[in-house]
Formats: sequence, C-alpha cells, structure tokens
Amino acid sequence: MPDYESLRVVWWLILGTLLIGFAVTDGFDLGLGMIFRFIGRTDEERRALLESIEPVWEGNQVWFILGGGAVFAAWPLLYAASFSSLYLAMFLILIALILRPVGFTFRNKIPDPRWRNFWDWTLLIGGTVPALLFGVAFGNLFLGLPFHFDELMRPVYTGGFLNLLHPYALLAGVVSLSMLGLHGAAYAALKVGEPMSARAAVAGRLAAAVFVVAFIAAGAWLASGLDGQRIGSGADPSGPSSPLLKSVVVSPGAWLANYRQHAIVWLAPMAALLAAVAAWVLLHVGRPGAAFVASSVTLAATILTAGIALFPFLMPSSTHPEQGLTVWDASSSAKTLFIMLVVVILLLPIVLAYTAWVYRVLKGRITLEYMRKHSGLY
Amino acid sequence: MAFFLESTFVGLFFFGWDRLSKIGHLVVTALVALGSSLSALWILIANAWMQNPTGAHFNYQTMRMELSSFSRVLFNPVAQAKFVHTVAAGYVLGSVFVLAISAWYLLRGRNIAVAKRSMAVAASFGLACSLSVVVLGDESGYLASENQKMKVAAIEAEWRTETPPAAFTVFGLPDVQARATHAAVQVPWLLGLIATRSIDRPVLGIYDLVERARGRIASGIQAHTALKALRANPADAEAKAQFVAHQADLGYGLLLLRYVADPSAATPAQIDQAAWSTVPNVPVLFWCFRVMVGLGLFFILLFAVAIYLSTRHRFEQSHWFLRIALFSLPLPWIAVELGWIVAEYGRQPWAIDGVLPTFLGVSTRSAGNVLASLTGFAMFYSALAAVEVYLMMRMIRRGPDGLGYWPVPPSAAAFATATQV
Repeated sequence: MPDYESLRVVWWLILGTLLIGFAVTDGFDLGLGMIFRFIGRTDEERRALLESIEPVWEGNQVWFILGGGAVFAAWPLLYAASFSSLYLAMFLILIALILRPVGFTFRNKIPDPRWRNFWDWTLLIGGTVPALLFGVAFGNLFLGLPFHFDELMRPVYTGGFLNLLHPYALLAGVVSLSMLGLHGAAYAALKVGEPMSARAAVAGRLAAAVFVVAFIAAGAWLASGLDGQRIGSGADPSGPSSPLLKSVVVSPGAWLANYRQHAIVWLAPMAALLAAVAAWVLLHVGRPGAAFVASSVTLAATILTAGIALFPFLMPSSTHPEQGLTVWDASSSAKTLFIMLVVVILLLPIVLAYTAWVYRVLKGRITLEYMRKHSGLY
Repeated sequence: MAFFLESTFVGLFFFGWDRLSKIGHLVVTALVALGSSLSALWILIANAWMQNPTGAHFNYQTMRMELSSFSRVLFNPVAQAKFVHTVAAGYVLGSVFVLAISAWYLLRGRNIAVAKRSMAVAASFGLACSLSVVVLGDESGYLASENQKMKVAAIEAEWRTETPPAAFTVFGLPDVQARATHAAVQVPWLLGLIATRSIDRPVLGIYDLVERARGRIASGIQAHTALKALRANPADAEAKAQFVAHQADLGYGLLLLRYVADPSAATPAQIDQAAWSTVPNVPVLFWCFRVMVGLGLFFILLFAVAIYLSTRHRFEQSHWFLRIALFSLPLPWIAVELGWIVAEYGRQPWAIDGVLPTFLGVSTRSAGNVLASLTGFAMFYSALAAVEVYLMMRMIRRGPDGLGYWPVPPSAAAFATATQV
C-alpha cells in the first residue's frame, strides 16, 4: 500500500480530474442550457438544440455526483463542512439541477407554446444557476468561509447566504459562466445544423472574450489585494486527519505562493488564456470541432489554476484560519483511500470506454432535416 | 459507478432506437436495468451499515468511525436481505401499476389485447416478486432480531420478555404511558418461530432491553470520560486503556448529552431517561408494520387471482376483480413508505445504530434554515408531482394507440399499430 501522503496527493488529483470531467462533459449541456433560447428562435430549432444534449446530459451529470461521492468518501471533513456551510447555496443548486430532468422530460409532451416556453425557462435557469453558483463557491474558497469545529468535531458555520455574494466571488461566478457558455456554444456549433450553428459560434466568441477579461481580472485581484493563507507549522502530511493541529499564516497575495516557488505552474493559467483565444479564432474560421477541444482545455486549465493556487488548502476558514481544511488533515483513513483508489483504477477506464462508445453511436449533426424525420418519444 | 452505467445508457435507450440494432438496443436496456439495480445495492449497503455498523471502529484522534474491514461492510448480512426485499418491493410496485392501468383499459373496453397481455405478465412477475418480498422481509426480521432487538420488540409491542416461544400479537393497542399493550389478540408461538427460528430462545422484551441499555450507558460514561482525557492529552496511557475497554459503548454514553452537559455527572434519573430513550415509538411501529405486512399478503392474493383469471381467459367477465385491481393502484406506495418508516423510524434514537445518536448526527445549522429548505423541497416536489400525475393520466387516457398524436419514429409507430386489435 502506498504511504498516506502519496494517497492524499493522488486523491487531490482524482478530485481535480473529476471536477474537470464534470466541467468538460456536463459543462457543455449546462452551457447550452444557458444559450439555447437565444440561438434557437423557433420551436423546431430549440428542439434540435435540446435533442443534441438530451441523450447524454444525464450521464454527464454523474461526473458531478461522482465528484460529490469522492468528496464524501475521500474528504469527509470537506464534505461535512462545505455542505453544511453552503446549505442554502446547495439548496438553490439542487432546485436548479432538478429543474433540468423535468424540463427535458415534460417539455415535448404537450405541443402548447406556453407550456414549452415555461419548460424552456426552467431549462435556462437549470443551466445558468448551477454554472454561476459553482464559480461563486470557488471564489469563496479564496476568501475563506466563516466556519470552525466544535468539541465533537462538528463544523459550525457562522456566516449567512448573502455573505457568499462578495464581489470577488461574483467575479469567479462570471469566469465560470463565461467558460461554460463558451463550451456549450462550441458544442452547439459542432453538433447542430444551420442556422443555429452559426449563431452559436457568435455566442461562443462573445463568451470567450468575457472569459479572458474576467480570468485576468480575477488573477490580478488575487495577486494584489486579496488575503491568502499558508500553513505555518504543525501540518504532518502523513498525520491523522485532524484540522486542529496546525498554524496558518494569513497575508495578502499568499495565494500566489505556489506560483512564486515553481515557475512551471504558470503553464496552467497561460494554457487557459491561450486556449480561450484559440477557441475564439477557431469559431471565427468555422472549425467548431477544434474550438470544442480548445474550450475543453480552457476548462481543465482554469480548474487546475485555481487548484494550484489553493494547494494544499481545500477549504480555508476566514474566522479560524488554523482550523481550515487541507489535503493533509481532511482525508479518510489510508485504508479507505487505498481501497477506493483500486476501485477507481479498475472501473474508470470501463466507464470512459462505454461513454466513448455512446458518443460514437450518437455521432452526427442534429439538423432540422433530421428532426423532421426522427423525433424521439422522450 | 453504478449511476454512470444507468445514466449513460438511459439516454441511448430513449434516443438510440434508430441508431442501434435490435440486439444492441436490448443490451442497452439490460445495462440500464443492471445499473439501477447496482445503484440500489450500494445504497442499501450504506443503509445496512447504519442499521448494523460492522467492519468499522472509532478513531479518537480524528473523532470518527473508520473502515477496518471492507468485506464486512460489503457482505453485511443486513444488506443482502434489505437489497432483495427493497428491489423486489419496487418490482411489485411496477407490477401493480401495470395491473391497475391494464384493468382500467379492460373496464373501458379498449386496447383489450395489450391490456390482457400486460395483465398476464404483470401478474406472474408480480406474484414471484411479492413472494420474495415476504420471504426476504422475514429474513430481515430474523436478522433484526439478531442485531436490533429493540426494533423487533417495539414492532411487536412486547414490553416484557415472554416464555419462549413468544406469541405474535395480531391486534392490540400499545400504550406508551402504561408501558403495556391493551386488547391484544395473540397467535401462540408465531413470533418466537419467526424471530428466533427456534422454540426455546426468547425474544427479549422492552423492559429487559432497557436494562441492558442502562448497563451500556454506565460503560459509555467511562468511554466518554476517557475520550475527553485523551483529547486533552493524547499520551495519557491510563485514559487510553479505559477508552479501549469501553469504546463499544461510547454511543450509549453520548445519549446522555441530551439530558446533561457532562455525562459523568449524570443523576440516576437522567440515566433512566436516557435508557428509556432507546425505545422507539411503539404504537407507530406496531401499526406501520402490521399494515405493511397485510398489504404484502394482499398483493400475493391479488396476483394469484389475476393469474387464475388469466389462464381461464375470464378478465373481461370479472369486473369486480378489475375494479379491485384498479383501486389497488396507490397501495404499493403506501406499503413501501410504511416499510421505510419501520426501518428508519424504528432505528431511533440512533442515526447509526448504537454509535451515533440522531440528535448529535444533525448539523449545526439553525432549525429555521432546515425548516425553510424542507418546506421549499416539499412545495417544489408537490408541484412537480402534480404535473407528473397530470401528464401520466394524459398518456394513459391516450393509450398505446394514441402515441401517433405527435411525431414518433416509424418503427415505434409500427409497433403501436401492430399491437392494436
């Protein structure tokens, strides 16, 4: 069995991989949910747009479930502290996510335009609200959340819901919205016929531009004004998972410490920006397939950028910094981490293989012609 | 991983009809079913661990339960029985649904061929499933009598231990104040046979189990005191020895935190309160269990009669049966919910049996927060359920021959036509 420290780092990487998997797969159907009412003008156009994601969105969303499951099983303290602290935000995300399956399923059942408009709006909310709130949640990690532990090690959250809407968190929300909007637009440009495809390319370029501005602004703010945290002493990478044994130093710009120490990690933010610019260009010259790959790189590199800045922190505390959760003190036992690692190594390739097969079966553009010939019973 | 299997293929199930061969589509359908069954298995393994927390130990350094044996969690006997019981109950629900809707078609004299065939399939599948629900329910009861004696005693409203084999109370009015059951109608021997599968082993009554809890609370106080000392000074060897000796009863010591801030200062009255708090709500369990079992037996009868009528080709003449089948529609939902109440409410006051009291398992969020989210979810889901029922009734009224109302794949339209008479 590998040592505890390596297992913890591997599970930090797996958590990142699952987040990236979620963003790359479910990201495009959330993103398409944001924009389909604007790039599809008639009912038929909207149905074609929705049909391009209907067969796959559910499988994609399991990446999110799996991410939650991985936090529950590998980082139980993070699970307890985050779900309990972000209680009302999670409630809103859940309501928005529940609107999606019912929207997809109910929409086409009755041809009345008012009925369809109503469910179209639920799908739009279901795509936009989670994309925004995921970004807001990430932004709050950099601000630290007001929580600590009581003597039974139960997390106690001392903030309210509105505290989460700090300007920096909202800026992170814009980063998340624009990158998922870009991703959804690139997918639409690739997967549906005209005239929706061309409109999607325009929307995607707009989103790419917003992303570049917001991403640079968030980085500059992090470097100049925002308080960051570093572990002072007492953290044992192989020690028991108790977040009460360390000291933490708070200072402005400390979130960039990893970037100052290791120049190579600058590749992540560079890749995020370059890929976003590339996506803009590729959508402009009519290469949606390559643009989709570029937007996927943007997503992966953005998540990596944030993860590297926070490392080894998972969920810093603003009121009790020394009780914030890190990779070294919030994990499951070594035994649990190891068993789950074996399960992941055995099963993830199988999941990836059959997911690839499903996408192959569903290949091809959903054009208006196609819609007139086939139209599902869904 | 199971969710992945189910969710990835369910899209292809709906949208792959024209893109896959018939065999291919059948395989996809089977994979969806396999995925949802695996999901149920893992969910019930987790639930079974809360009923019977095996394969784990408490770590005082991290203040939590940690895995010690994965295989014991995986092969928890409670999980095996619960899995088949719960999944089969789901199949019964599906079968009653098909039976009821088909009965409605027959009462209306439409879609006769499809309805009769559906009824025959639902009846035979449903009979097999309802039998296994009862058999595995019995297995669950047997296992509960092994590790959750209090739950069994509360379900049976058995206040005092009877001389074995114990009698089964078919009807009675459990009285929590008097700690007795009035107007009991009993079948001799039956409970002893079901719960212990013997004629000489006793089914412990509530009074004896409360005494047992009192002993464990005394030991749990020692564990709690030692844990506090260990938290203050991890090198305290004496405290560690005391903790190791009493850690199995720590949960019982924590029960006292509801009545007193420091368990080691608990008065005998408070210990008595905590010991009696291990008794779940007897009348609720007593009645939920009896109605659930009654419904389970009723479903067996319903399916058996349906099979009889099906082999005699007498559905259309038997309007009385069709009406019963139609009005049975909500019953499996009721049975399933009652089963859930028996399993989960019957575990109270524990979130994890014997380990974590429910009042400590809750988060530190304010009650107002939780009330707001609960109200929100209740309203949201009620609205969705109303839409769902409306759409389902619309589909049912339209029937299999009405599917052509909106564009359908040619193959599905051909199927709908072919199955009409």
